[in-house]
Amino acid sequence: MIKNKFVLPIIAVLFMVISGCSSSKVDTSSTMGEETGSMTSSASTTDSVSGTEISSSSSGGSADASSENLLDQRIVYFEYDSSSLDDLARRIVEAHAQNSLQNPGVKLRLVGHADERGSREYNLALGDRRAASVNKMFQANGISSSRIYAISMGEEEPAALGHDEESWQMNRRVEIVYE
Amino acid sequence: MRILNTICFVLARLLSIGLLLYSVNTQALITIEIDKGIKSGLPIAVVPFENGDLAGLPFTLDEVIRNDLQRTGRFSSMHPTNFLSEPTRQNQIRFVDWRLIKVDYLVVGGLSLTETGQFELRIQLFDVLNEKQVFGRKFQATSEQLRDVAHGVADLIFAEITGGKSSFSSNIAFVSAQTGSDGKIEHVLYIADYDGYDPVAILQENSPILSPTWSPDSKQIAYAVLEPTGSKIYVQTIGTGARVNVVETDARVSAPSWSPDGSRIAFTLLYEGNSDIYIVTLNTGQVSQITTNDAIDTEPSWSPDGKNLIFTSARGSSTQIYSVPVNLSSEPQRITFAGSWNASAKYDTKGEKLIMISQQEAGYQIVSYDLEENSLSGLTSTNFNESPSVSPEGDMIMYIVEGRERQLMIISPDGRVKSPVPIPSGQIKQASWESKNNETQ
Repeated sequence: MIKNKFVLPIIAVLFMVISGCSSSKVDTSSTMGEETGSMTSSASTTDSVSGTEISSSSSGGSADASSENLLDQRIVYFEYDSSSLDDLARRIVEAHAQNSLQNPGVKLRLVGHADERGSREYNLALGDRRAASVNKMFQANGISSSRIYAISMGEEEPAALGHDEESWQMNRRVEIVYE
Repeated sequence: MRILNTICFVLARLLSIGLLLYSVNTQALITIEIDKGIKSGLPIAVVPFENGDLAGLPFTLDEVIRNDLQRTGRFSSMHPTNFLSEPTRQNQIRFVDWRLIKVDYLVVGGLSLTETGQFELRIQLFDVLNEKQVFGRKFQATSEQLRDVAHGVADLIFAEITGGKSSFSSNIAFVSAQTGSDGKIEHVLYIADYDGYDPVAILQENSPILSPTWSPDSKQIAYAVLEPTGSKIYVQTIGTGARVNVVETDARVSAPSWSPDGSRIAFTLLYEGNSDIYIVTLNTGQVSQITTNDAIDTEPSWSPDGKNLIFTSARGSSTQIYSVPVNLSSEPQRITFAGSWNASAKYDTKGEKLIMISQQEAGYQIVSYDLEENSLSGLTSTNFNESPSVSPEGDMIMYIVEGRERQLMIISPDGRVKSPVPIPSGQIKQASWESKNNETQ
């Protein structure tokens, strides 16, 4: 994990810049992904990015106040049967990418997961796709692929054990693990 | 004959394992659920056998036979409480008693001890309408073998009356997960009789075990293990417990499916978010790539003639089943055109239908898909269901109910008769029926 506490402010500043740059990218991304609504589960796990919509604009405001919180978030969530990153997921990955740039010794393990519905093998492939989406985002943010190990656990390691949408959305995820 | 094979198999099993666990004796409690809305099976009565408890078994042989016949949906096994009389020998039969309760076929028999200390099961099948014997047989066996004998008798009855074959003497493999004493999840691969009886653990792993698939001779099982550093496909010899990693690659692999001739295994290779279908030839280790699409391609399964692979693909606007010739003489073709999301397809034994999961309003259902008509008919209608597997003779289908009521089930091909398959403990994850065993034909 991050040993240098003081890198965080630098990252925050950097992140403001980056997130400003990437906002247009984020906007176009919404067309390739889900038609369904915002991810309430990922919102519920955040603090200052909090309960409000993760929707369209990722510009300014919330991001700079929350870059530290974004780094605290080690899980990005996905819509059903999708491997597309929504705005919050992108901001979380970008924050970790910046952190990794500042800490060249850090290696990351990305573990993709799926909810229990559908077949185990399809979910293994879907989890792999999700981990690869996050991996690509890291690489797009300048992190070498040699520092990242992406793997899928399919539906085998649920974070929540219920059999309803509340649990399922907690399980459609990629965990970002610092090694 | 078949019993000899059974004995060899039982011996092989007993020798095989360091992990011999325990048997479930809950069979007597099985409830078979019948949807009476649709036409019923042929009415048959299997009368409790004379000296039925002679071998001190925790089940009765007549009950094993009744349940076997019932599960296919081809028969309607009448419950003994409805019988007007309980003959155990030909001279005790009053056919009018059976015509009155509308039974077409009658089975009577008994158990006795032979001079050599073995048990002898005597069986007679009668045609009630014509008041004549269809066949009469005697079988000698030890008490441990009697259950297999009963399954064999049910196979004989099925064949005599329907002219077809049944899978009552077949085996299944299944994976269950249970929390060990140290709090860690243990994944266990079992083999068992098709009705869940006599489960034997042949593998225990800390990592998930996926997609068990039987070799056509039933001597080996292939499966994937999702190890933390990647997944591997192993072929394990049931008799010895020895296993080999059959795909030498740093990439992750899963979804093994054994070819009907036993020479090859199709599998999925996962690489940087892309999954494609490959084939490994077992005696050479040579690997060839079958699909190249960017979308998810997984769950390969062979056509009965071994010439094509069907697989689940997300390459189109929705996830559907595709087929590709193994010799790659043509491009993959979509073959399912009903159902908004289909996966896990397996051919039925004739190659005319697919059994698969399909997304419906009430969740993922087990459906039968007619390839000629391009029509889909639901076998299940509630809960989420997965892991369909067709019996060696196509007379039954096994699947798993997901969610709170997680359960291994067998359903008749018409969807009318359902029964749970008991498993030793833990949560059922996946199951696979033995493939057609050419040696016993």
